[in-house]
Amino acid sequence: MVWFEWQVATRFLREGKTQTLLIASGIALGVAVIVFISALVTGLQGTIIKRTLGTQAHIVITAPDKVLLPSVTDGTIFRNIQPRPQIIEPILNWPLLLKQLQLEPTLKAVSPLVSGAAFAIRGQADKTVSILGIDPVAYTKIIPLEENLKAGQLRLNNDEAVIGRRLADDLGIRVGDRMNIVTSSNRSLAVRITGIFELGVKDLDKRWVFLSLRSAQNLLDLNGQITGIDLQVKSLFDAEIISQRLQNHYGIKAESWMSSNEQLMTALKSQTASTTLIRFFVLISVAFGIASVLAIAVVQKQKEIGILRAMGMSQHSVLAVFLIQGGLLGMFGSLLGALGGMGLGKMFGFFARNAAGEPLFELALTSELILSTTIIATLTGLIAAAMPAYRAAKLDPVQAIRYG
Amino acid sequence: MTDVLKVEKLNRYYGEGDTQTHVLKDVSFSLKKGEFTALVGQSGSGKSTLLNLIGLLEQPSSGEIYLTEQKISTLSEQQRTQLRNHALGFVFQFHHLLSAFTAIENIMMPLKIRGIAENKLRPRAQSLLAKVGLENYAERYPTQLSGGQQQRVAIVRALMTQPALVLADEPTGNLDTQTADSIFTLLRQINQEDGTAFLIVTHDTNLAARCDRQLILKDGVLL
Repeated sequence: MVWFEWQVATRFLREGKTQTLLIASGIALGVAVIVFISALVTGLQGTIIKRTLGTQAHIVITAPDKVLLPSVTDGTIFRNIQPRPQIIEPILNWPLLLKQLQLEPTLKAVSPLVSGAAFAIRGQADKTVSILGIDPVAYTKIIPLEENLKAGQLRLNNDEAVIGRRLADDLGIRVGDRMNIVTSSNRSLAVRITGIFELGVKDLDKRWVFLSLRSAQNLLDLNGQITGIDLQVKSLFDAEIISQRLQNHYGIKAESWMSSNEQLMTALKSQTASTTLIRFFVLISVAFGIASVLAIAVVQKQKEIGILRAMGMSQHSVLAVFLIQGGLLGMFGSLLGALGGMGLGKMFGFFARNAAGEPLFELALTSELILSTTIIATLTGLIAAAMPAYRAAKLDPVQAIRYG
Repeated sequence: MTDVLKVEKLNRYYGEGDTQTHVLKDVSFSLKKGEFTALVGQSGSGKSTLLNLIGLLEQPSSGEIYLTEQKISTLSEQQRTQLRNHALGFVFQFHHLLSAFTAIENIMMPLKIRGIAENKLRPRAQSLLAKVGLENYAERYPTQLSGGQQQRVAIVRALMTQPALVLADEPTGNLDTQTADSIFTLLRQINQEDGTAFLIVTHDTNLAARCDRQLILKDGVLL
């Protein structure tokens, strides 16, 4: 039965060719804007997040903070409480925790970490640095250190270190040179530099010194313990939820990238909200466009509807004819629009380049985005057609034939 | 012979209160199978209203209509729509063909509404077109046909479903005398060959006189 309504609908659309093309281009324009702006914002956010997380783990696990336990429990109210200093606290029973975390289905990578403060000394020069004791294989799954290596290699045997480019410059170090690391408790270690990295973040390139887990443990007097675990999650934006769950479940302190980059998150969220708003209003105007064109079409086709009804076409069929028209307009227009949006994106990618001629960021023109936009626009067409279609179905055939 | 149509004490009012007009007053008559009847009357006499009521496009204020022995007042909107499709054929004064469809598609329309596939309808549509001398015009659009040709297509469309009764509202009103005459002859011929009953609204007393029977409506009363 639907085949017949389909045929009538397409014939009507084809008969009003100019009208159909006009509204289809209107829809196309709207959809192109939606596709382009979505791809732009998603791409931009993706780039920002990628840059941010290029130097950060998704979740960092540390031992829980020391809290003050009042020795009096008789309801005394304390006027002044001196907070405790937080010393570096090792994670208890870490090999077991590590194994358990490796089995978590929401996590992609797990990497043990030993961190602490020290001085790097070469000749007369000394610099404050952060010691990071890592397992290179596990750690590169968290932060792509190997990709950012400027010289040497990522090799961390005992007494070997990988440092940042700026620290190397400050101390006049090249791969193969030696330097001393001294901690506040006066332990020292002479290391040979096997690699120099550049993450592009000045502070990190100045401070980070990578050692093997064992060297760092010895240097910081940790005796086989670790101070943190870096985690990579499978779904980026679930990091906060996952970190809270891990925190409650394992009794450790877990901080996600989302809570340690609160400002970034706020910016991303408001960006997403404004995009959603733009998409919503564009969609609404598309819907109004379809509705008004179909409302006119109903008036134009009054006579035809009356004749069809006189010949025994049911109200349902008339309804279907106009719903199909709305859906088709939405679909046809949005397919055109998706192409337009992709074209806009390509053009943008061509012009928006940095000085080196590299694109500033990748547009996220996914087939998923195009498919979902097309489906939503088609549904919008159907919904927009509902009112005119209902009016067409309720048309009095006598009036329609007489005055049409 | 069975009655194709029976109308009993039909009344139709328009409007309410002081402005209420009584358009049809106790109209009763019946049409037998294969009867070729003219409905005459001046404009404003209630002809169109009566035709719309019989065509199930409007509902009477009171009275009853039996179409192919089915009592209309008890039918739902859906059932009336279906009965209209099965029992009735319409020929309007202005051909009222659908401009987006070719002649043959227009002819097949009432049966396509029923959901019958086009390829099953084509042979019959083609032979009906041949019967009215339009076998070479099947793929033309209505705007590419002359007034007489359009009206013949419209008549063929009304006959496509082999209805018991064809309702024709001034079928020749918009045509020159010669064409009007040929259209009337065609209707008469179909009536005699297929035994289809016709109820033809007309101004033309000449044409009316050539019918089996004349129903004369004056101020809403059947004389």
